[in-house]
Amino acid sequence: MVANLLDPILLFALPMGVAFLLPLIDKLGRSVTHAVHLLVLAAMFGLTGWWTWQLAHGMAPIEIQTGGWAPPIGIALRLGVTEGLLALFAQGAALFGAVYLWGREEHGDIRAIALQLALVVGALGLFMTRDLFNIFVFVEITGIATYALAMLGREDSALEAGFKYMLMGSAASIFLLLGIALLYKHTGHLNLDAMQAALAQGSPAALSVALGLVFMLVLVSFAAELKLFPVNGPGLDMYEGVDPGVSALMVVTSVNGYLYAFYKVLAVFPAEWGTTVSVLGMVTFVGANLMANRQTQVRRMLGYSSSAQVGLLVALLPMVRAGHVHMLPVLLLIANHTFAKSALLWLAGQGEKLSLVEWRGVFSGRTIQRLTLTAAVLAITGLPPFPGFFGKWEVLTDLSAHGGAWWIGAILLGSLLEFGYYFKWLHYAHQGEESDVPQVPVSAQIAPALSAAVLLVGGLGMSLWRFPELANLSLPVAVLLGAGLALVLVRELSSVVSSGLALLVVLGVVGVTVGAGLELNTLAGLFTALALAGGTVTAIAALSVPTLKGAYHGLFLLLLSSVLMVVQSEHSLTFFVGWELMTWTSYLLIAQGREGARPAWVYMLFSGAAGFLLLGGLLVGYAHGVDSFSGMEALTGSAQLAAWSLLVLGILVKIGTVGAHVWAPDAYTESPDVYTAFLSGVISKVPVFALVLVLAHLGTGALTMGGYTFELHHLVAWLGGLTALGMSLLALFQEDAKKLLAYSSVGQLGYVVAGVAILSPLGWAAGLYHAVHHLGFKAMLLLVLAGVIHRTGTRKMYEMGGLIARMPLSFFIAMIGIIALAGVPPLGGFVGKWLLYNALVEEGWLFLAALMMFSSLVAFLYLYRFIHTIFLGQLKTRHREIKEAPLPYLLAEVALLGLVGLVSVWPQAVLSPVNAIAHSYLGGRGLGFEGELVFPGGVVRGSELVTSFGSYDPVVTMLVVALVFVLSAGLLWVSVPRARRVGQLDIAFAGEVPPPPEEIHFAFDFHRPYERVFGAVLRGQAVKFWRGFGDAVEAIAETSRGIYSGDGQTYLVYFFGLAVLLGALQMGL
Amino acid sequence: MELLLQILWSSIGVLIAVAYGLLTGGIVRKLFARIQGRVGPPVYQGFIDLGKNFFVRDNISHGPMFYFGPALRTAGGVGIFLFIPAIVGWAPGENFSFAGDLLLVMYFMFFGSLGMALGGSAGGHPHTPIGAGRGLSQMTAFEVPFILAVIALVADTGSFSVHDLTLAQAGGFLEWNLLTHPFAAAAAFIAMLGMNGYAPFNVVGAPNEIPVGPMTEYQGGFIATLGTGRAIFAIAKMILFMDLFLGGATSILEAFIKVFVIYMWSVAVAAVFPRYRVDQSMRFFLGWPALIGVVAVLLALF
Repeated sequence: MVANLLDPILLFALPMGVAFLLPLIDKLGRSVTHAVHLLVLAAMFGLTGWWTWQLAHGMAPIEIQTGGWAPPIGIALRLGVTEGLLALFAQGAALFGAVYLWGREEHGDIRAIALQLALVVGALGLFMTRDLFNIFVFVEITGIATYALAMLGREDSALEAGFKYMLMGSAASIFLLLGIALLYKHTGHLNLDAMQAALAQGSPAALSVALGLVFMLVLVSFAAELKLFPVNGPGLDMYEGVDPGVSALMVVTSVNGYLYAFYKVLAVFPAEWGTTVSVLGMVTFVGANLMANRQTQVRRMLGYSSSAQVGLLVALLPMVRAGHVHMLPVLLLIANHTFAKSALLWLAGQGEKLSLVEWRGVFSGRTIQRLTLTAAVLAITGLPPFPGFFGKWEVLTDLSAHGGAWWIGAILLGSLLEFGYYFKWLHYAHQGEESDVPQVPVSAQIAPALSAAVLLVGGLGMSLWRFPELANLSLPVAVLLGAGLALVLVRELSSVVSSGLALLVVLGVVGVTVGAGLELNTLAGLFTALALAGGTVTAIAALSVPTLKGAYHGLFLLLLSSVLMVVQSEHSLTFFVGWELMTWTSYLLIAQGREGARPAWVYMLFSGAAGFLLLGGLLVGYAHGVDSFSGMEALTGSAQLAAWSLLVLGILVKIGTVGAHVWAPDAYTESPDVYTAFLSGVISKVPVFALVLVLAHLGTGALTMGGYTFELHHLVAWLGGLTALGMSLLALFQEDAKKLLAYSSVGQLGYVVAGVAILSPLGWAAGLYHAVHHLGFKAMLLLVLAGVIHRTGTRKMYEMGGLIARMPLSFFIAMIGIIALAGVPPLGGFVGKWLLYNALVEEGWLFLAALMMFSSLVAFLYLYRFIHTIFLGQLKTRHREIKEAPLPYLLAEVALLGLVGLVSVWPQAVLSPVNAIAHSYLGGRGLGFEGELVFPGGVVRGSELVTSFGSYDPVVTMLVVALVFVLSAGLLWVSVPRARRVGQLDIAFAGEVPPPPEEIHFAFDFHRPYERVFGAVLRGQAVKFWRGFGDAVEAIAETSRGIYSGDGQTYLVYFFGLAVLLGALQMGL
Repeated sequence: MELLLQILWSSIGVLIAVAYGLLTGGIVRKLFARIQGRVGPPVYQGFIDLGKNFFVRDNISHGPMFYFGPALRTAGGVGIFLFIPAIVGWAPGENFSFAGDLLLVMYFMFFGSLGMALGGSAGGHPHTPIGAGRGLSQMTAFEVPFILAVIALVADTGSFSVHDLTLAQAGGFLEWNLLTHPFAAAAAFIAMLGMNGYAPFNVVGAPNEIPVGPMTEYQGGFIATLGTGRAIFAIAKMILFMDLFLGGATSILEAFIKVFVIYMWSVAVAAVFPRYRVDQSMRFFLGWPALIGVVAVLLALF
């Protein structure tokens, strides 16, 4: 066996030997030195990989006793699977680090290379040693190597930071040594295994005081080494002051080493003391993430982030010890942090110390780095498909099974805070013109990309191996994922080719889905059809946009796949993976708009919050052994209410219900015009899908207080109604046509929410019918507008007017769209409203019915404004020669026209599947009238829809309307035989010459009277609230980060202060 | 066959309604004149105007959409008449009310308004959108008490069908919703003042200010067509109120009388009030009338 021939001691011998030979090797040339450096790391990686593979396949852990001596004389080392994996992460990342340094002359110093090898060795030692004193030795080795590396930098700041770091390091070392000495005194052992055995036998009473003191000493020492709150000041200064290449090396080697060493030492102490550790770690996680939000210096921000991530891991370690959390997810989190953070730090090595604002546009034209940064940010914020997501998922499900609700809450809060600053950096780096920050050498571009690739491949591989349900994707989803990823990677592919490819893929997927027999009579089927219809139409329209390249189309396919994943999911995990995938692809698509960066960031914060609320709800299920929506029916009592509330709250935020709507209008408005149609038509319906599921399986959300039961779904319906009204009112006052439609989109969702929340068959009929119909007319209106913007180059309505003369087809389609939206018979908007009012009156929710009717009237106002100011009135002089919208837009609009026409005349096309769905979820409730075609809550007689309250016949209505229209037109034709067509300025102007078109097109501040009446209520209340909320968070962050004065003495005060505090706590215990 | 017959009956109904609408309009003008101490035009002035406008030789157009306005407005007026049962219980008088219920009627009312606003806007005159914007704003406000009244009635009667709502009042005037649902009736009749567009809610057309608002650019045959639509629309609305609150009608004569009486309510108010600005009228409708509507709904709930 090779393993017998090669002792793991080689892992130490090899790098140390080479390090000493480096000066000699360097004589052969610097490239040779670099090559040897790489080779050594690669060899170590290969060897460790080989052993780890064996260990994972049943080999017993390799025990080594140095020099053949048994402890206490020799040093005991152990290489098990965990140690092997940790070593692999460290060596792998260090290997990339070596690549990073290759091209950077200032680090080409052979002393730096030797120190790097020393760091790797130190980390290995910390992973493998079983000896307490040995831990101290390796802590010193890594510590000294780190100071030395830091001080190799030529900047003053690096020297200062290194010195402060050393100061703190020394204090920590002394504490550690004291602790070890005390332990040795009381147990007579230095070997961890022997010590544990001794402690297990020794009398606790005699030991407890000494052990308490040791615990304090060790914890404070490791807190300083691991940069936990509040002793992370020197660490932060270090990240800010030294070259990010050094920081990256520190993260991948020593930090991981300290973590695992700490984990080993924890075994000595009673399990219940772990809570102190967890609290300290969690405070660091939340606190550092909070403070990072106020940080404008990117390197220091990354320092905060490291503190936070390590804090989370520290918090988890005692839980792993106690058996509440599995080791594997924690290892995943470590791997995720190792590779993501190293990639981020290497990327931050771009240029001199840049603040956030100076990062503007740095990666605008740098494809590899742009992709890398995106991947690394997604990984570190714990989004799928990166390992961090799966690690967090398992940790959280483990915790939920052990009643760790507070821990879960803290983890989710910290993670949300993490979104804030990472996505801020991302949007700064991506937006705007290319900056003039010089590009780094190729090797420094490749290293982070390698890390990102490891994260992507590792994440995908791990997820498929660990969660078989994820491997169970349908063919369309898999195809879309693959094609999307491929297109994203060739992000600069020309628009013609990429849009064509995307359309082909979507059509192929539609073909496959339809060919496989799409079952419309299920919720999944209905929403799949919705998504594919919207996807096809949007893909067609995108053919005419020359600015959208491979990156857009790739993300669009990914997004489509995520939507399908969500609606076809049968398992909470698949659902949530799809959901989060949807969140970030959507984010990146919104950010592609010209001014999309900031709205996308706000979107991400709200979507992140929504996602975590949903996750919280799903975890309530996991706490009770339930891992799917359908399984949640088993929940009762407070668990049911908790799951219900969290899920519904998340959904409402994601929908943009009034109060939480502030993200929506800007995100809709600033995203690429074609994408907005998809966002409004399809993406906004995904939370509706979730709402249906939640209400179907978890019921009405009954809240019992003092013997009185209140059903919370009532509240949800009211929120829907208020959303409809509030958004419609806000839409009135927009000068930006797209923003008007954006508000309108959110408002229309209010009707859907209200309908679904009634939780009656008729309510579902109303909600789901409207959801489908909304895709038709709203996507149509948005695409018409996209065509108009394409031609006029403006979104301001007062800069348009009279376009009917130049774009008659667009006008016609827009007119149908507004009639459909307004709910004027005979189009489908009326069917939806008719169903909704019937459902509301049937339930006796009369005031809500009145509210919804009023808000539907308000819609008239903004619709009239929309069509008048854009298409009617006076044509602007500069638009005299404008052309009709491009053909693909028109084709897509005509397809949507078909959808609107179909559901208007033949609502059964939607109502019949909804009936099957309502039947399967709500049972036979409310269905009557034997022997006829039934829709939820009513019947169809011939072409007539009948409910217990009223009836509507779309076909007869359509015929009557057509008839009277023909008659009226005939009357007009008879009475106006030969009208003379006159010019646009030939108007009845009281005998005066009309001023130019620009001055007499009534468009600006159109609904002034309305503002006089409602203005005070509406003027940005929600925006004000959230801005205040954000300011408060930032103020807290700003104040609390003030404790890091940058003064070494202050830092030491914190160190001793923490020691006193922990000591006192320990005495009190 | 039945359908063709219904079309025939309804066509006759439409003609009668137009004639009655023009006549009522003439009477109203006469009334206003007498109140103001003028002689006023003859009551048949409406017919004369219509005839004159129909035969104006030269007309001016601003493009296809310009034609749409009057066509949609008239179609809206005729349509609304057809969807309301004029004489409940007598098949020829039921029109096409089987196509839908009160909701259809309420939403179809907007068909004409929207069509008019669109067609007028195509004329390119700034007064049109000003008038239309005012009209639509005011509409959203006066519909609030009306909606509340309707919902109260529907909740009590258990049906959205105008037919059922009317039949529920059978058995003498003591059963009329006007008396059995005083709050709903009050809210609805105040809302009607706005619907009819007489003073104090006539800022939409606002004579002297934005000449005739949405219709500024129209002339000749266009005006004639619009006038036809307007006449029938006015009558159709009154029929709706008759059906909802005055127990409907069982004969044409009864319908004539009740419609006339209802119409006079808004004329009487108009005769003594000056004009509100749009925001003032909105505040008015969203104040007491809406509150009365709320009371009506509360009564229906408990």
